[in-house]
Amino acid sequence: MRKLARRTASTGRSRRLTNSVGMLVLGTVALVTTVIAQPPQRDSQSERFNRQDASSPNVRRPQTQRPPQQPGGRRGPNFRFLDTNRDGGVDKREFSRFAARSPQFSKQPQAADVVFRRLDADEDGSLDAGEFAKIGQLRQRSQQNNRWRSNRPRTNPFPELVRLLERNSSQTAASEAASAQPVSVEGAEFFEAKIQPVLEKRCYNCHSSASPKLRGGLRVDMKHGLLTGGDSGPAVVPGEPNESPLYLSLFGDEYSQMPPKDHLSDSVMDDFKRWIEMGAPDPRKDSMLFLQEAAKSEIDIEKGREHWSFQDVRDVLPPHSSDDEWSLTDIDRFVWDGLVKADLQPVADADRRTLLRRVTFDLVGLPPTPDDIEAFVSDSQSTDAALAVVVDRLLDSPQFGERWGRHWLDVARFAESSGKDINFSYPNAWRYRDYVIDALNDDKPYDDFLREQIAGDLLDASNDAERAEHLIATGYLAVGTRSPNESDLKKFLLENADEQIDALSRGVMGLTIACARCHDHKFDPIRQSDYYALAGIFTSTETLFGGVRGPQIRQSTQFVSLPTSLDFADPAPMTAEAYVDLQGRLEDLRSEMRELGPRNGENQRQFMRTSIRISQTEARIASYNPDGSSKPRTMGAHDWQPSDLPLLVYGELDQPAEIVPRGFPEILRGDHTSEIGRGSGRLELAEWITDPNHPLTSRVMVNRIWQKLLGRGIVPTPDDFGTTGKAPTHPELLDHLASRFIEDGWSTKQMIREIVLSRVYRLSSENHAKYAELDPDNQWLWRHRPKRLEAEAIRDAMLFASGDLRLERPVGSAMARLGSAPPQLLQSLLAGKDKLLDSSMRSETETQNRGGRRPFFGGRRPSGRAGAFGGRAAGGMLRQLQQFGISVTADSLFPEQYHRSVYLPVVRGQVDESLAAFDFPDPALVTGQRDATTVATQSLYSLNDAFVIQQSEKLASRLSKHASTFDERIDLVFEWTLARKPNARELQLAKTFFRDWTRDAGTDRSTVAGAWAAFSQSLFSTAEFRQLD
Amino acid sequence: MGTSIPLATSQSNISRRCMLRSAAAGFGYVAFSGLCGQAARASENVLAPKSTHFEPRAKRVLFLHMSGAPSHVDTFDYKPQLQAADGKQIVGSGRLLGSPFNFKQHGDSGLWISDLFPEVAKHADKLCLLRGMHTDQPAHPQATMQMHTGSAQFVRPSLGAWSLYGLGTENESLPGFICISPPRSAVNYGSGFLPAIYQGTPIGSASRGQRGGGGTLELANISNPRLSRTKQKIQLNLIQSLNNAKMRDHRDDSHVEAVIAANELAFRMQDVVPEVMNVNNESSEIQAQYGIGEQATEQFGRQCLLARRFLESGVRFVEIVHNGWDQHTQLREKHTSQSKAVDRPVAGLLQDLADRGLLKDTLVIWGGEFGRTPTAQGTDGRNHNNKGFTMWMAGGGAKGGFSYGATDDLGSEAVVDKMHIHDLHATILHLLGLDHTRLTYRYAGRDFRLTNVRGNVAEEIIA
Repeated sequence: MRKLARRTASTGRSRRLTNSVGMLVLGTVALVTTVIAQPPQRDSQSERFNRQDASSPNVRRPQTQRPPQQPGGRRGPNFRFLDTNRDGGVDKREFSRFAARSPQFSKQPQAADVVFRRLDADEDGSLDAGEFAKIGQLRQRSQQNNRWRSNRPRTNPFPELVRLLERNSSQTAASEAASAQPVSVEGAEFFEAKIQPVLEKRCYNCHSSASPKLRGGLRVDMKHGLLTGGDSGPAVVPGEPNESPLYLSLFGDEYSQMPPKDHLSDSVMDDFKRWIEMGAPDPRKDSMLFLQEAAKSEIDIEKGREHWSFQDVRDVLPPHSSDDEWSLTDIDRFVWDGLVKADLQPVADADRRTLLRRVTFDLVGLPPTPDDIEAFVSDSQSTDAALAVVVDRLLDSPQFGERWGRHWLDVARFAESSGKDINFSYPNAWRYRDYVIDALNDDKPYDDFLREQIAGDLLDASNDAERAEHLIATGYLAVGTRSPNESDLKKFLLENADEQIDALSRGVMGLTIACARCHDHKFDPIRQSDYYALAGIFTSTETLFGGVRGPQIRQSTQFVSLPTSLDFADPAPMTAEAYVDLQGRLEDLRSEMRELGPRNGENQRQFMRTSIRISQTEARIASYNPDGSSKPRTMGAHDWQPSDLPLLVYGELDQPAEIVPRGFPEILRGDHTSEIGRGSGRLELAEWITDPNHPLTSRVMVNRIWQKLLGRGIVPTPDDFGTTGKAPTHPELLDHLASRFIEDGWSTKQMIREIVLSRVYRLSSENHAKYAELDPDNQWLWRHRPKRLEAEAIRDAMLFASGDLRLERPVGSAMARLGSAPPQLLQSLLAGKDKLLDSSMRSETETQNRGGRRPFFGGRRPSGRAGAFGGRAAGGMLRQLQQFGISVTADSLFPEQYHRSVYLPVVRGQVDESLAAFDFPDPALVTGQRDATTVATQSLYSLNDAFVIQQSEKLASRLSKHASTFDERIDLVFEWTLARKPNARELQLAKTFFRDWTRDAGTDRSTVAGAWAAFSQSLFSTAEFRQLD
Repeated sequence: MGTSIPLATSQSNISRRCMLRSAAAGFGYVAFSGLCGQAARASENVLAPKSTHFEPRAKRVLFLHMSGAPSHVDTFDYKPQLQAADGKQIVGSGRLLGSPFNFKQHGDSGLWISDLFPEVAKHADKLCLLRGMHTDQPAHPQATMQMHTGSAQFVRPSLGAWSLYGLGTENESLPGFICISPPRSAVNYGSGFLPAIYQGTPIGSASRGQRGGGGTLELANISNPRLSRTKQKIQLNLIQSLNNAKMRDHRDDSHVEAVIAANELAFRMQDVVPEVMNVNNESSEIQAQYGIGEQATEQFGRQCLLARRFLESGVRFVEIVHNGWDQHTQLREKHTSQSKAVDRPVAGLLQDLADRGLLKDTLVIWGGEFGRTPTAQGTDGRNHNNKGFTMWMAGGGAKGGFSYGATDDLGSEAVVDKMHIHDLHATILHLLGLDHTRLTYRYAGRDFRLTNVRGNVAEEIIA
């Protein structure tokens, strides 16, 4: 109760401040809307769905009209001013001079041409005043798209909930007494027949749990709501209609007129009067909205501290043993100690060839080139020195970030669509992907890396580039799964917070804090209140994930706009002409909509379809500049009105208990005990997590690094350091590495370097019967644990061998080019790609591989010529794409197929087949360690997939260019695929294969090229190709 | 390489060596995973048939998912009082709409079934109607997710994945869990945190093809677009010889061994799968029994027949999704055409399963993600109703000619023997011989179940 009193007092203070803060908020909103590009869904779409809501009169509408963006302001540039030669017309030269000064056209001068042509109705090459005036219309059209975008932004609903809770609690006694009065049968019937239907129909929109924003703090969908009322006190005074605001507001004299637009009929007003006179009988049974008593936590924090991972990291000195001649580094000394105690010996070191393939794949995810192999194998220096050179080269190569960035993306559950029930696109998620890759390449200190991802938007930046980087980093918070279909904003936000807590706590701290949402954690010392302390931080943050409103997408947000001063590569430019076309399309759709008339049973389907197309088209227009360049935006997060959360009993919104101040789990709180101030608390969260004294952050990360290199973590459960996780096999080594990590400025590269230069990393993967018996799990590291390559490495290695691999980074992602179109479309396109691949391969074999890739569609504006690549299905695809105003060719939509696999689109539920076959993790989940299965579908993939076949054929063709004799070719193909030369037995097998192949009289590919392709494919299909020894 | 359908029963003919090999490595070998690195566990076949918790009544499941939600009060939940009150205004929820379809009693059991299902009605005595179904979710996507995974909130393993995880597969040449015309969202047949081996293999596509779902029925990469059988055999010989050579050179051979086995299995699958999937091999009588050859029933008939062939060949869990049941408008017309498309195929399937002696241990489940309101939407439609609806089971140990649970007089809410989705799942697992409280998987530090912390087995429906 004491806590409650304090909270109430502070609420009183904040209420007094409301007015002045309100003004401040308005100013901030205006500011924010210029920073945050608003998405299209607030357009007519939301007006269509929420018309009544928006018209509530007692709501102050923020005046955040965006200033006109077009040159010259609302009235347009002065005609006379442009007509420099005073001939009464603006010719093209004069127009381009004007355009050159306008920021809109400066980037793409052809846009000015297009606009000029559109304006020049009589096509005389000069605009008269009348023609020129139309520029205003063009502009107005685009302003219409901007107008609604500055409409009311979503607001955090929780401050209001908390306020309501606190007020209710103070009035509990009074209203409970009132509600305890029995309701007569007649009274109940009267209410149900006369009052409730009116409330439902006329008031629920703004005054119920279903309201997007609760107006005046009043709820009429519950008994207590009426009795305790809203901002203006109780809504109903039983027996006294003339004292009851609910009744009085029907007239609109003393109170704001309700319902806002029109008076209820006299008879209905009389019903209300009579009902109140009857004593306002209300038979409803409210379930909620009083602070409940939460179960007392039985977790003993002090006892919880005994678990190893909650204890401080200790900087342990490595053990020294005089008979240890094996160890090279401190790491080895810890390992040696363990081996000796377990009565084991390390096996021999791997040979240089194996070691080079291992370290190259481990560090950059690609095989070594034949030159690399030659250089390393023949390097006369000691292996130590030679390896150090190789490691530095690999760590410095840009491919390093692509490999290790992907490891982090597994942990960050990165994907480019929402997954779950309605899978919608995240067209800007790729910026976060690229940020991660760059961060690894730059060796950004891990603490900064985390700080930026958690609270980048709140960090100081020295320039716009840094600012952009920080904003993009917060994409971490936004790329998770979500259900946009959820109509209840509070539930939606709680889910969102839960997803973020799960990703952050498991990914960064190896803790399953999300388990404490409904009750105290069953195994770890995490209280339910700890969960809500964290959840309050995330609900005080608005996650900006985009999305386009539609019948099934009820939740959508803005994107974060990036500083326009920077020159971003454009992932999906269109021509200025296409932009104008798109606007025309929108007009067409809108008039189509007008012709449909009001929605009814007959036109429902058509109505929905058209309205979806309108919002999609609006979304697309809104994400472009008139010159056809796309606006640089990213997913991310920003603070909104902060609020603590009530603890929710069983996680249920209708069972709130005490309000929990935002903060951190007690067991790990350390010195971070001060209250969270004005913001959401993310900045404090980031500082807490990256505190060098945090016992988990550094341990979890070094364990992840170790696990990627040695095949298994020192803690074998990398995402669970709690009591149900496995204990570390080498706890001192783990702490040693964690301390070194922090000492070295949280440098990931330095940590990797230390590990791969150790002796233990260098061991052979050979089995040893005796040791295998003593330590079958190899937990004491007597040998190197062989690894199955990840899906990306397998695919990249094929592209590498075929010579097709493009190492430069593609701009954006296929998902960026799809924009807000549904990701299913991508699937159809990729399925079509296979068919195309297949037919192009046929023609390639016939013409000995011209190496050209055919355009996916006939041309930029696809017509009915779809038959060439897949018949009707593809034609449907085209039409669908056109509906979204997208025109593409295979290469322009999906050039990533020849880049490294990390750049393939990651769509939840439809991961590319080449990745899915080899255990690409479900991107809905935090995955510290991937599965490594061996299943028949992988064999089917290797044997029959169009991509593998294509790559084999390209490899064969490349071979024929590089070598002429049989032996040379066999040598080369082994080096390119397996990073070694064939042995005598393999040479023999190859000869048998070619003999059998030519002996078979079949007509299919009995050519030499066909045999080499099949041979190459065989090497792709071997166990060795997929394995790292 | 034989081309006959490898019926589950014909496996006794397989040589011991072959058996050992496929059991040792085949379909579900997990190697390298940090937790399974142990040599002893390296050759564990996670898809091998497993012993159940108790004697199973059903060995396999066919889930006929009517997506969009059929109206229970127009199909399998007869409400005379609703008919009587047709047109009456209900405060706060609209005007009642008596079913435009007639109900009759059928079979010895006298179950009430509407005229929408004349063929299925002939099998009334095989049906176990679950008339007290309810679910938490009033919107399609979430309700579909809850129906398939138990959770509408989190990405969790699907019912089929749990079943396969609990039981393993009886035919390693085929996937153990197949989704024909799968649900639009892959979550519904995914494996969540269970190993990927347990996820559903989609065949055809719900988003393509005609209304009702369909698309080409094929398994990805099941045939080589380039090579003849002979050529491919030569290629496979090379691959396997290279693998064998590697195995000899290298003393740690567990991965290589697994790849060798997987390759052989894949090669077998190339024969077996198209053979099993070739519905045209069936006699014309059987095809007609499923409604193949008639436009209205062709598509779903083929899918049902394909499902039977899968089940017969040892596939553990098959789902067919039939879309288009969401009649907010045009209830009369569309519910008629929807049920026409599935009535004969489902009846043909039940007959066929019974004739082959498969129905007794095959659990057939029919139903949508929720039901529809007894009140009208417009003049000829019904809205979503998650508070009460009907599903039915047949075979697999479910009582035939039986009705369990009930909605209120109007069909608006389940009131007697209510069955939540968790209860349905618990009951399905029970019929498979699995205790839903013991079928667990450890993930993120705790043991997860399909039924979370809920679920009661409806003992009364068990024959």
